[in-house]
Amino acid sequence: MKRIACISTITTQPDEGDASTQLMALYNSTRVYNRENDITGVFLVSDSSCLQIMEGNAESLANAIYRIGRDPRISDFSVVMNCNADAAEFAGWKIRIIGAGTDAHLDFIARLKESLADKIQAKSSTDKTRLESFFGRPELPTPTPTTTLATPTPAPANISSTSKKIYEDCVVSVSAWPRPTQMRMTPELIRLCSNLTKRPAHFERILALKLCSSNEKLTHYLSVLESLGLLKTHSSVGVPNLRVVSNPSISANTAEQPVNKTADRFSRVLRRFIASAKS
Amino acid sequence: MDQIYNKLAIVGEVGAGKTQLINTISEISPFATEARSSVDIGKEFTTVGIDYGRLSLDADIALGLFGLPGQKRFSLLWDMVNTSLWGLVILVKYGEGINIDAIDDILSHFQPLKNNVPVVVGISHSENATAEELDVLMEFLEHVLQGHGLSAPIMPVDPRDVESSLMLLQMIDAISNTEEPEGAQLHVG
Repeated sequence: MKRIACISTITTQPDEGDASTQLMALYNSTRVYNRENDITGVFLVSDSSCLQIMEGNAESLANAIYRIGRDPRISDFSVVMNCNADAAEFAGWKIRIIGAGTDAHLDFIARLKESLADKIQAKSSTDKTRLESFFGRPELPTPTPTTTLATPTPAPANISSTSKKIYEDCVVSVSAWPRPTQMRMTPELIRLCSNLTKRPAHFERILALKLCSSNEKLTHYLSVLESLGLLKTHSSVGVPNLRVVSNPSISANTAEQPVNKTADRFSRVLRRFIASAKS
Repeated sequence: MDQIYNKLAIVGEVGAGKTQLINTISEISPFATEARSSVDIGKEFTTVGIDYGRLSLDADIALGLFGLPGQKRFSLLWDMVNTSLWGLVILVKYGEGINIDAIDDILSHFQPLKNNVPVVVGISHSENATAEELDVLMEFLEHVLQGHGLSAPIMPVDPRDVESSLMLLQMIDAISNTEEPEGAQLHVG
């Protein structure tokens, strides 16, 4: 089963009463939907922030999340946890109102924090602020905010040089393609991801394949992918099962890459066609 | 010189934009296979059978575009196309919930991982979706793909727009040109 948490802000619609009315309407529709779809979980509110944790099968949760995300009664919707679960944490839970600041409230929050807080990830500063309204100022893992690249500009020099040093000693791979909402998909990034999602490659090897036009761009792409949690780095030193072939063979492989001539010709012609169609 | 003819399968639910996508890319019109719909599906005409389009890239090089319905009951049509595919585009229509089973069926049937066929997922009708809404949808599509051992690009697409449509081909091309395993740089063991 899956366990998912999403955080949102309850909006006040001018023609649908005050925030309390909106909240109850939202809660009721969620309760009915979750019951009909065998979803269990908790529904927490702090001021205008709403944190929902739901458990169930993947498809039911997918539809629930999709539905919540489009609900006009909420805004700034964000999924802050998405993980597999062996068993339901909140199975059979009924609604219970806990007065704010009471021992029961503090116990409940402490329990929730202990079991789930390390799995919850704020995706933005807004998420972080809203999560803090539930959990106080915990040590929630806060990844670097989502980055949107208008152009592949180099990272600041100090970051770049540090990262480069790290990556140069590493075999890297990409666990999933970045979403277009996270990074602009440039031809270089597409080539990079195509290769690194299939198999790990050493920094030196990627350079030799000329997937990126410069070291700086490659380093920049890798550091952004890393900040998005998509880059896996494996040190090539001291890892018994992962050994990098010496440089001459890398160069040789790159220079005389075994290519399917038909596929290569098709690809060249297609790329020429796309370029001319776009211009 | 040998002729080169590659096949691209475009699979998606009713109204996802398969016909429009092929019409945008193809040099021949796929609308000839459209028929008036007998039930309300949100549009007057729908495709009967397979959409077919063709993109001649050179005198002896062409790409065949095959638009296929996304429901499993049409798997007979899938079989007619599912040999030596150059790529598989799955079109998902934004705005009416996610039919994970249907996407599962497509991936189970086409078996892109086993057949080494590049996959790209395009989300259509997403012009009015916010980045957050798209993120949610993409997150679940990623989950479905992972269930089939796949990591594939997921991107919004406007099948009416040439550049947006060609981006799908560009993606497939990039993936299919990934370095072959024989040329890999790692030794295991």
